[in-house]
Amino acid sequence: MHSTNLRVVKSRLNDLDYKLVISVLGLLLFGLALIYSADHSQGIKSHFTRQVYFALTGTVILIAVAAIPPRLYYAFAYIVYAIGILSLILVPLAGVMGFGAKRWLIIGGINVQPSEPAKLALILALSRFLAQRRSHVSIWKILGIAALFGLPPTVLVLLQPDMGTATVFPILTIAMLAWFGLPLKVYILFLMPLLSLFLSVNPWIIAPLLLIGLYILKRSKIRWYGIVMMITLCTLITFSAPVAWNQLEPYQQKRLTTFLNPAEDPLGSGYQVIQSKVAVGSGGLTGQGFLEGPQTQLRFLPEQHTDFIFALAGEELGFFGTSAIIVLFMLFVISGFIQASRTRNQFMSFVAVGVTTMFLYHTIINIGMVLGILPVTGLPLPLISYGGSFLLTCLTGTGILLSVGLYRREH
Amino acid sequence: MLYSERSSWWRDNRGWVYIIGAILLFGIIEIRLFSIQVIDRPDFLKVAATNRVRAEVIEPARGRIFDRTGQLLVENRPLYTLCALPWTVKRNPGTIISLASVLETDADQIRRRIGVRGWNTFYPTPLQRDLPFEKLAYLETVKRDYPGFEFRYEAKRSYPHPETVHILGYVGERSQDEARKGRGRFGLIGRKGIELVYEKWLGGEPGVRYQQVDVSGRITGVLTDPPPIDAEPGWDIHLNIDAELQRYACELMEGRTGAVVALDPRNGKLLVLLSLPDYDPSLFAGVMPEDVWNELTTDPGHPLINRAVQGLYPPGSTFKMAILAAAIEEGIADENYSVTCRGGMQLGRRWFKCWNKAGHGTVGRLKSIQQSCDVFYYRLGLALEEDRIEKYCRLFGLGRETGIDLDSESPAIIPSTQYLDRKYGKGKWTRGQLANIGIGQGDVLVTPVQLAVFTAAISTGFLVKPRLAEKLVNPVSGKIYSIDADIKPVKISEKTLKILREGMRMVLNEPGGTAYWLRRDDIIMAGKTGTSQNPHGEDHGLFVGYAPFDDPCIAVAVVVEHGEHGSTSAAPVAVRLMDRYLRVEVESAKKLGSSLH
Repeated sequence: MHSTNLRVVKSRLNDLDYKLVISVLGLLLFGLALIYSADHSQGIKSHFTRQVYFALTGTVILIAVAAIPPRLYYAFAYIVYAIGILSLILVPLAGVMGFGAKRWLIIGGINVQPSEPAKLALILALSRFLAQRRSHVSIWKILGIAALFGLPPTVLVLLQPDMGTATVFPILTIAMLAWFGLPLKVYILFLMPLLSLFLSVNPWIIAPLLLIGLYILKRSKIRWYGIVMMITLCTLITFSAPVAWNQLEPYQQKRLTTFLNPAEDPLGSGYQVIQSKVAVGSGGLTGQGFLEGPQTQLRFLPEQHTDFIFALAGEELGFFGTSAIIVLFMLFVISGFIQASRTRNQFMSFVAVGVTTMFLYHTIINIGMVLGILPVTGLPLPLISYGGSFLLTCLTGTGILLSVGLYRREH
Repeated sequence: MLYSERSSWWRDNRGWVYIIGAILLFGIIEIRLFSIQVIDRPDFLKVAATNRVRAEVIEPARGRIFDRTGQLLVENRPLYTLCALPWTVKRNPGTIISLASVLETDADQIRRRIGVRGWNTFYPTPLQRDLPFEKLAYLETVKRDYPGFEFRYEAKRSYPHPETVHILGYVGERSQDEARKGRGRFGLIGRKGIELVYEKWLGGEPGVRYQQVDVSGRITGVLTDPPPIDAEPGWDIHLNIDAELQRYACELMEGRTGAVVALDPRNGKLLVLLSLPDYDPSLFAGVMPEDVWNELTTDPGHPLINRAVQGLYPPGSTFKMAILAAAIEEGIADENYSVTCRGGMQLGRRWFKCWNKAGHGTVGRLKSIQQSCDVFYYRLGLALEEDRIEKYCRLFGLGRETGIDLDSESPAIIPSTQYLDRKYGKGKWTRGQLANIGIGQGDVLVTPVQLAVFTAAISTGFLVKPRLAEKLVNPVSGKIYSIDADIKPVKISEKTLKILREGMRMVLNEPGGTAYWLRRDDIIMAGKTGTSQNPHGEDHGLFVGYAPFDDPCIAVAVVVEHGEHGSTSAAPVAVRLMDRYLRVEVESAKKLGSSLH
């Protein structure tokens, strides 16, 4: 009996994804070092200390979560989702203000940002829904129900307002649906309205794309009234896009316009992008040295603990340092997707795709913002940016990914 | 399409599709990183440097000013200026209010000063100069609470010889425009007098020091690369002015309004240039409070006007030498020319009085100067007419700028036909006005410095350009730049000048001369009194003179406003001044002589 247990544990440990463990540990250490450096510029240590506590707590949670078998996740998926949505509903009712938005709940004296764990909640619920074995169910019905899962958190977070985080939920939904497998025409049907949003911005590129889309739809035996409806929808969107633009909050408009032309507002939001690029650019191959980046240490670099922490890495650690971080992220994401495709558990496969996509999306959006190729959305860098809620969410997500590996032989 | 109809190919390969997608995204990021960090690095490094490096101007020490004997007339005293970095202060608006209460000023005034300079919000803007020591000490202890505020050391001017104030002028704060042109210089700049005229020399060349600053502009260190450039101190100026003589002139003029100009007729070196009333130069040493400035500008005595170069006075009888010279040169008054004075003269319906109601009897050329007979000069004025008078006045340097090294010199007015026609209208002015011009009244206006140059020209036959500065000395290299005398012969014959000189000698040395009572036994002086009618009150008293008669080394012009008679108000000042100067000169010459043996 005793020896059997040991054998089980041993075989389980053989299935432990060391690539994931290494990348998470590496990224965590990079993160703590960079937060230490950001604190150093202000002559404090408080962020660093708190992040260490969060990292330790998160690691404990990670280990615990990794040990949880899939059937428990499956059993509690919808309950977790319900709790997640409830906490998001509580934010406008009992939340606290900060940075011009209501994003935090105070639980036991700690500021919690419910939009972060809500990401995991959506992943679990969607996974359970998509993993259910069905026959003779229309793909449209599945799409519709998936959208019903994704919509509440998106809308609630948009209302906070936190546009950056709100984009995470649709992206997760789409990525998981795509993993589920959708016919080409479905993508076309969704892409066309999206493209027509920008028709008035650049008709010479968008219009041919829309025509190709229509051609594919016609080949996919979509009935004529379906195509007419599509054209009507696209036209409507094209003309309502400017109206929608005016509905955006000024700071959101500013972010988008500043992204297109940072020099337009060099002292406002463009300032952040310019300073961030300057910090990254002055790093060179080997960097200015840890704790020795002038842009960072003289605090020209804004938001250096949080959203722009990658720029700090760029300045102080150089191209080698940033590349090491990129490699660790790639290792993480590739391991995640490998877990997703290797597991025999349908449910955990979706969970793995969801968690990995969440990492990938945050990483690309954040670094793209720091490097000035994507707009300033305020999405943090996983495992590296300062912030307890997101770090714990990431470590929990990693724990779930490890669990996928550990239980991958079980159905 | 149904759930069960999904393609199995996708189920087998979707993992690879996601992985390849992720690799592509990371690939784009990596390429971007390489281009920013490796390829474009030099550009970003440059921006980074301008971010954190601030060039700070090092104010040069302003040049000092000495008198001819080496006495210090202006020196520098330390002054602490409170500056603000607009960029930082605007982000901490609360500090303005608390600082305003410390400084006992208005918060709006501080805001205005910070707001004014749009050109460089990262450059310290002077808020308050010459901070009192207690406030300086207090702010130094709490400076952490006031981000963006800092002290700058500058020099203020100190004037140990207040009687030279009209010569030296004053300094003032730089305007925004001047600061920009001076590449961010914030120190005081010459506004008047020597301080203004020689600003280029006195001001020096600012240096620059490169400092590392953080995002709020706080200095975190001094950079050695690029190396700092030291400031070059301004040149010292040595004046021709004799501070002791200037002080003596001031004593002689005690309680009077007017001007005294004394120069060396051989080279134009100005020994005394006094204008009264004056003001306390220390008011201008640092920063002028607005109310003091208003008080000075609205003072009915106009203390800010330098009467020596800006004051316009009818020359009165001191003008008579110019008229006589013209008359002789033009062949009107030859040796035998004489006029009979019966205490006045009838011209048309008006009786033109001579100052001596009893009349001078028969008056010849010398007596006309010695006793200052008005009738003689009414006649000459009428005979010469305005244009010939103007021509000879110009030869003597009257009615045009002397070229003195002071600002705002007035050319004054010697009327020509053109001038009178323009002023009164063609044919609207009378012969009576011409007669009046003959005695230096009416439309004739001169400055005291012109009178001094005029007197010097008579005494030596040379027209000099009056110079305050003698030489400029570089305090570092010791290099000397001397200001050469600018002398031109007067285009009037020596014979004529001799007659003028003789007449002027008789004024002081022959019984009946208007200043005979001031004669000296040992020194022969020459001069001419003048009393000029003043429509605004008592007559002005004037005197011009030079000494010694046979070897002139000082020429003086004195104007005493409301002094009534030149002979009693202005003449004693001039005579005593020349006397003092010559005695001191003789003494030093003796000393020099004895030391040579």
